[in-house]
Amino acid sequence: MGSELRIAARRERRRIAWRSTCLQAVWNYESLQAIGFAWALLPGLERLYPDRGRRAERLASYLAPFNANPYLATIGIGVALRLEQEVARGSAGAAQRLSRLLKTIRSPLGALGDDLIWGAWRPALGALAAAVALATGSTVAAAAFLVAYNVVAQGIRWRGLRAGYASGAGIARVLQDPFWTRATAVFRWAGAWVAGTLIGIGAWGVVSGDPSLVAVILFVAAFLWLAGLIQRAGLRRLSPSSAFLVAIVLLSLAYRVLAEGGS
Amino acid sequence: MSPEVLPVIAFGAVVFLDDWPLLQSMLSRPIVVGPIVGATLGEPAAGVVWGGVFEAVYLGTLPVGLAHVPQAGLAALIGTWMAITTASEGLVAGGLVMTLAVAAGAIGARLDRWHRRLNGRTAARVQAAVETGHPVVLGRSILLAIVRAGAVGAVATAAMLLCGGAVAEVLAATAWMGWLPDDWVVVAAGAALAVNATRMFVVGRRYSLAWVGGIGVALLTAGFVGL
Repeated sequence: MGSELRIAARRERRRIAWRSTCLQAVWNYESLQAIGFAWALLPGLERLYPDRGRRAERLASYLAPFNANPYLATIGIGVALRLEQEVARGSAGAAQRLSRLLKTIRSPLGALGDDLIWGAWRPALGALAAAVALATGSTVAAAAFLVAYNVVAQGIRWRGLRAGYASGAGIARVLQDPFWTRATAVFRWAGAWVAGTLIGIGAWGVVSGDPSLVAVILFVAAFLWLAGLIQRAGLRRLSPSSAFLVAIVLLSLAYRVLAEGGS
Repeated sequence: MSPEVLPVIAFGAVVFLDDWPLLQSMLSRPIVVGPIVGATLGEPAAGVVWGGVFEAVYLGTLPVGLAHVPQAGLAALIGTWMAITTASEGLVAGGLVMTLAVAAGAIGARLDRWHRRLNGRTAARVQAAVETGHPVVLGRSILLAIVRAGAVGAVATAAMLLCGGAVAEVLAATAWMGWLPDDWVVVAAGAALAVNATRMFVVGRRYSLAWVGGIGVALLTAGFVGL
């Protein structure tokens, strides 16, 4: 049975990788990603366990709570596929080892992915794309964002499955690989660079001395100060976007009052 | 409602699906949603700019762990639609757009939580079925959840566009309410983007050299180009 899985691995891997895009379809507060995880794994289990009863028994073991970054969860799926072969061969204690390993790696799969993708890659790329969009009004910013983001994120999803399957119980080596921290650092450097560039452009606008621009800059400074004040003034549950909104509404009213007062 | 709203409602379903249930290709990010809605209304450039505004606002909302964040895509969809349609009627829309968009994002977050609780009931039924030897239920539950998420997204988008339009009409008639010009909102968004990005990547981290480098290069380039 193990050799069958290896021979057909590529076809199974493709099916499993596509199914992993639905990993969070039935995300819920009780089992988290478990339903999607089990469904993604099912093609491998079908090949390993022709007996439906045994297959259902193994499938049920994957309905325990599991949560990871959605792009790195395929590493866990690959690990499960690889170790499930030992379970299918009847190795003593293999099922318990697999269950323990999945519980152990779900936190690092979440933390690494959240740091890399949510905390670095997406915001760095989003900041750059937003800056280009605001400045130029070109649709290229959105298209480039979509392509660049998915090259990395979906690439991790697809390659992660292969890496998990190849590593099996030795997955700790993959998770400890300096690639993760280095890639995160590179993306954060890029994000810091973009932030600095935006500050520089804004500072140039002030320095260049355009009077209407000075008025706008003063307005922006007032707005940012007000938004920060609102957040700090005991309204800690207020999200940054809500603070932005409250600030802009208050300044709108002030603008209107001043405009009416001036006319 | 105008006929252009139908593809936007369909796109609302896609945005809701892409946010977390399916694929997560970032089609649901404001920077992508804005141009698509703008193109539907024949104003792609305006859509791009408003997409940039909402991307700036929601840059720091990260779906880390079990955190619940506003639905940035839905906010951008409603906001961009309102910005372009109300501006075309001559209404100065900046603050109004932000109000409706942020409200839409907050409502979207609540819908998210409700949808996840509904998924919990589905998951319980699936677990019971698998344990009694009926694994085919797994695939059906995935399909049901995807269809349900798409339907929720479409209905939510339609309802918010309807309500947003009604609110815009009421507020337009309210003489004492003034709203910021669109371009001031854009500049504010640019500033918010700079501050958000600085807070995320520089404060408390060791990347200040890149930040200073970015400032320096921007100043030199702007001076050289003569902006």
